Amino acid sequence: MKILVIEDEAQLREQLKQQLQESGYVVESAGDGKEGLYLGGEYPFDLAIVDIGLPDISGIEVIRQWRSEGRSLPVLILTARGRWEEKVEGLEAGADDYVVKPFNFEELQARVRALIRRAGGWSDSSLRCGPIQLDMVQQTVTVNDSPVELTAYEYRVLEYLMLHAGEVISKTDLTEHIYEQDFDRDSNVIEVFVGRLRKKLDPDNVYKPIETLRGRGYRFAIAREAVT
Amino acid sequence: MNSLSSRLLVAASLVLLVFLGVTGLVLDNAFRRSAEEAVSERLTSYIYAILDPFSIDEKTGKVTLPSQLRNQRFLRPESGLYARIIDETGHVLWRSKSMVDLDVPFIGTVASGETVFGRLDGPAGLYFGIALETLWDVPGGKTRHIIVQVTESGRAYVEQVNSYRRHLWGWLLGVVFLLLLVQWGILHWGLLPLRRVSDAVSRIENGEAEFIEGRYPAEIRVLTDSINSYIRTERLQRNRYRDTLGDLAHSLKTPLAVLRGLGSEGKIDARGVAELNEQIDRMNQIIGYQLQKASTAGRQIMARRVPVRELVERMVETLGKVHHNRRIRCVVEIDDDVTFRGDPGDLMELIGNLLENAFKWADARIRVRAAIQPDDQTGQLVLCIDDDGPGIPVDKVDDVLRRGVRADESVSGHGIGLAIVRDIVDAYHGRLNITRSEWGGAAFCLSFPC
Repeated sequence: MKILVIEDEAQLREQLKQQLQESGYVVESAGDGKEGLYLGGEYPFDLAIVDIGLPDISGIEVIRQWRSEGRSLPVLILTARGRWEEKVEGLEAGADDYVVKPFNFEELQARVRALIRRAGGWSDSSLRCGPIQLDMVQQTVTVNDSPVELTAYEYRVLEYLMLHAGEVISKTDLTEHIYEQDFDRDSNVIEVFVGRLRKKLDPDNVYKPIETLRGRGYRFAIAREAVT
Repeated sequence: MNSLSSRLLVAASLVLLVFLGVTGLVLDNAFRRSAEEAVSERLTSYIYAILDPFSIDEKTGKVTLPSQLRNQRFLRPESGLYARIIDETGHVLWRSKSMVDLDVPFIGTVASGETVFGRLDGPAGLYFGIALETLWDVPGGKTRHIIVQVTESGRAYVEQVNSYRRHLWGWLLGVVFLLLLVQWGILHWGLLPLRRVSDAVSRIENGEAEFIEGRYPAEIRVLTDSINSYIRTERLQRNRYRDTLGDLAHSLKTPLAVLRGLGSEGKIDARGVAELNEQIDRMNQIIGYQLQKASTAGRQIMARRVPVRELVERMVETLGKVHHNRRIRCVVEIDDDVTFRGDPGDLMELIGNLLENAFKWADARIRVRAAIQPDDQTGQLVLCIDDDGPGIPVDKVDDVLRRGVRADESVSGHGIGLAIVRDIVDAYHGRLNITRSEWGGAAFCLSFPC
C-alpha cells in the first residue's frame, strides 16, 4: 500500500512517515502543495493524507486538482482549525474523511485502513475470500482458521491482491505499490513473493488463490465473501 | 402615533384646520359688517327720500306726502320696507302703505338731531331699523320735533349672509381637502428616502443585499454611508478575527500533533506516554473550546438570514460520505423558507457537531427537522436532530453539556462538540434540550428567537 503524505510541518511529516512505514505502508512525502501535486500525478498512490493548511497551494486546491484530473484515490485531510467550514470545504472538494490535529496515531491509522479497504470495495477490515482470511488490523492471515506466517513483503503483496480481488494486477503495479520510489526494482522479486505465497497459503494446490495471466499480471481468483 | 408620517400629517392637518377656521371666521365677520353697512346706507337714503317730499299741515297736523314715493316698496303691502313718522309724544303722523296693519318694530328713542341704526327683533325675525330725530319747520315760523323711522326686514340680509357662508365654507372645505391631499403627497414624497432606507435594511437582513444601495438625499446619506461602512468594517473585523483565531489554532495544534507523535515513537515509557497524552488532550480541548467560543459570532445586528435546508443538506451529504459504510439513512425534513438569523459559520458548527454526534451513535437512522414555530413574538426556529442510537440517560445530560473542558471523554463519548453547541446556542439566546427520540435514541432540539 502506497501512501502520499503532504504536510508542511517537517517534524510531523517525518513522524507520520515513520509511523506509517512501521505499520507496513510504503510512504512518500511532500512538504508543500506543489511537490504533493507533482508526486500525486507521477505515481500511483493508494491513499493521500493532505494537510489543509499548506503554505503555497492549499490542501483543498490540491484535492480539487486531483479530482478534476480524474484521480480517484482516497484522500484523508488533516485539519488544525477544526471549524466545520473547513472540514465541509475539504470534503466537498473531494476528500473522503478528516482527522483533526492533534490526532492519535491509532485513530489516523484506523481511518487510513478504512479508506483503503473502502476503495477496494470491502466494508470490513477483515478480508475473507473462501478459506483465506486477512485481518488488516492485526496484519494476520489464516487459512481455514489456522494462522499462516508471512514476511512483511509477502503480506503486502497478498493484502494488495486481496483488496483488489478479482482484478488483474500487473507486476509493475505491484512493485509500485509495495516499494518506495527509489527502490531498485526487479520484477523477478515479485515472482518469488507470489511463488512463496502460493506455497504458504495453498501447499496442496487445492484452492489456487493467485492466478497468473501471462504477460498481464496476477489476479486473486477466489471470490470475496461479504462479511456482514 | 409611532410613525413619522402620521405625526407630521396630524400636526400639519391641525395647523391647517385652525388656520382655515380662523380665516373663515374673519371673512364671515367682515362680510356681515359690510353687508350691515350697506343696509344702513340704504336706509339712510330712504329717510332722506321720505323727508324730502314731506310736509305738515299746521292746522290739522296732518302729514302730506306725495303718494308717489320713489320707492315702490313703501307702497306695496308687506314689502319688507316700512316707514313712519312720529312726533315727540309718540303720536304717529304718517306711516307707509306697506305697513298695512302689521306690527313692525322701529327704533324708538333718539337724541335730537341724531341718526340711530340698529338690529331689531320682530315677529318675522330679524329687522334693521334706522331713526332720525329732526326739527321740522312748520309754516308759521314754528318748529316741531319729529322722528322719521324706517325698518327693513332682515330676510334679504340673512339670505345674503347665508349664501355667502355656504359659499365660503364650501370653498374652505374644498381647500382643506385639497391641501390635505397635497400635504399627504408631499409627506409621502419627502419621507420616501427614509422608507427606501428601511427597505434596504430589511433587504440586508433578508440576505438579499450586502449593503444599502442607491442614492439618498444629503440629510440621510450621512446615515446610510455610516451604516454601510459599519457593515463593511464589522464583516472585515469578524473575518480577520476568525482567520487569526484559525491561524492560532493551526499554529498551536500542529506542535501538539508533533508532541503526540513523539509519544508513539517509543522513546518514552508507557507511563510517560499516558501522561503526555493526557496533557496534550487537555491542552487540545482547551484550545479547541476556547477558540471556538471566541470565534462564535453570536447574534448580530443586521444578521443575514441563512437558508437552513441548503446548509443541512450540504452537511448531511458530506458527513454521509465520511460515514458511508455505516449505511445510515439520514432524512432531512425542512421547508425551503426556514431561515436562521445569524452567522452561517455558527450554524455550520451547530449542525456539524450535532450531526457528527448522531452519525457516531446512530444505529441506522438520523432525522434532521427544522421549522418556524409561532410564539407570542416573531416566532422561533426549532431545529431537532434525532438518532436511533443508545440515547443519553437523563442523569448524564448535565455531564454531557457541562461547560468548560473536561478531559474525561468517557462521558458517553460526547466530546467537546456538545459544549461548543451549548455555547453557540447561548450566544444566540437560544435553548438546547436533550430528550429521547421516538426511536429511543438521543434527540437534540435547538430553538432560537427569530
